[in-house]
Amino acid sequence: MGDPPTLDSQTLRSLRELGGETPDLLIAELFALFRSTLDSQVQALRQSVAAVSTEVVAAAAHTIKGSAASIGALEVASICARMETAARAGMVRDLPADLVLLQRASERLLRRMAEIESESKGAGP
Amino acid sequence: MSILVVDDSPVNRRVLEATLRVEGFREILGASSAEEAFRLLGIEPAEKPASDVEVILMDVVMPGIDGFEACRRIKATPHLSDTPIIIVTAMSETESIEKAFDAGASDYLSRPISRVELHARLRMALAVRREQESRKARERELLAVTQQLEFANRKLTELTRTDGLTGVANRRHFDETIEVECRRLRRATHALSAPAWLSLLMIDVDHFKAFNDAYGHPRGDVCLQQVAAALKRALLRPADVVARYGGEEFAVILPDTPPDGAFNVAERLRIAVQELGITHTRNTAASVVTVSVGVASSPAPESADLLASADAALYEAKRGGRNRVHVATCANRPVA
Repeated sequence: MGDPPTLDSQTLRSLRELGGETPDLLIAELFALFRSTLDSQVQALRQSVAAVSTEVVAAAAHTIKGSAASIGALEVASICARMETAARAGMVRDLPADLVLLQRASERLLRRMAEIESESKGAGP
Repeated sequence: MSILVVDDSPVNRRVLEATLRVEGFREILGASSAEEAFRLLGIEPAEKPASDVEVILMDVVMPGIDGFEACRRIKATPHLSDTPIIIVTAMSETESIEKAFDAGASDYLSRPISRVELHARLRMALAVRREQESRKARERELLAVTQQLEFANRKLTELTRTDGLTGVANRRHFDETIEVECRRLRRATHALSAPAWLSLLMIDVDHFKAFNDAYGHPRGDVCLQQVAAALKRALLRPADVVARYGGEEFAVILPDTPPDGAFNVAERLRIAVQELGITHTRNTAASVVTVSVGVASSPAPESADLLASADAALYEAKRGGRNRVHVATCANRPVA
């Protein structure tokens, strides 16, 4: 199995279907909701990794994982899943490295989200 | 009828809400924490919920009370114990799934949730719930019917024991009771102090045939009813039983009553009847309806002996002039 996609197209399709008459509106709403909390959540994760508070790391990673999975951001979700599992097991060695990977994956995700939004705007009625 | 979505992530709530709407659910409630869910469900604070929630979709990891604990608490609440809870986990955490079922969840779903899966799980959860509700309704019906039956049975038992005209115990009930009381007394071990006595009164309305001839049977019936009522009123203890022994004859069983006590009761009853003041011109003893009473007592009686004794005493009361009490002489206790 390959690396998990930045933004899973199947999930996106399903989400569009949910939008009914206004598929792009729902996607925009979800992206906005996600973006609004991502920064602070990643920040909280970073702080807890630095402080080696494994319980907080697990909770923070879990939160991001959940929202990411909901919108099909599977790459971000999978890194967070790994961090959560490690933190729960008390294995802190790889956390800082994973944090870097998460940062990069988040950037890719935000770019992809922007692409999709401008695509739908460009497509027009 | 609504669905409650409990999840601290607004993204997750929005996705689920959109999915549920497409599935045809109109009333969707959202809570961002277990505490908020408890408020909406009427658990904490305890009050009537704003809406009747049919099924709950519960996230696991939330700040504060987690999904498993929330699940347990909801299941422990009486008015919600049948509400199905579907735990929503992210990326199939198998450990969570077991904990979910232990906490009382009826099912689980993994994110990202496909519409088909959500549809299937919800249908099943709602079907199970409806089945439980209809079973409970049937149970309630059954309980109501059972209670009605018990009530009817009690009424029936009462009827078989009661004399139709006067409402006191009937002859059959008397026969049973006197037997039971005699047996009980014979079985009981006596303390060194005074033994327990069983007393029996045989009460007969004086010149009742003449009353019927003079005033007619309907008036005679009414007279018997009034006499029975007076006897019943005058008996103070719940264990004392008055029964209609024959046409115009009554019997009173007095458990735990020695001869002098029985005499006192008999006198009280005799006076109560006399004080009814039912006019009876054909009575020899008085100008109103009166009774003659025979009293018999024994510490270890055979019912036949006690009856014979009371009967004999009644005969003496009649012979002595009616409207009086005669106590059967007893070897141990001579009576004035």
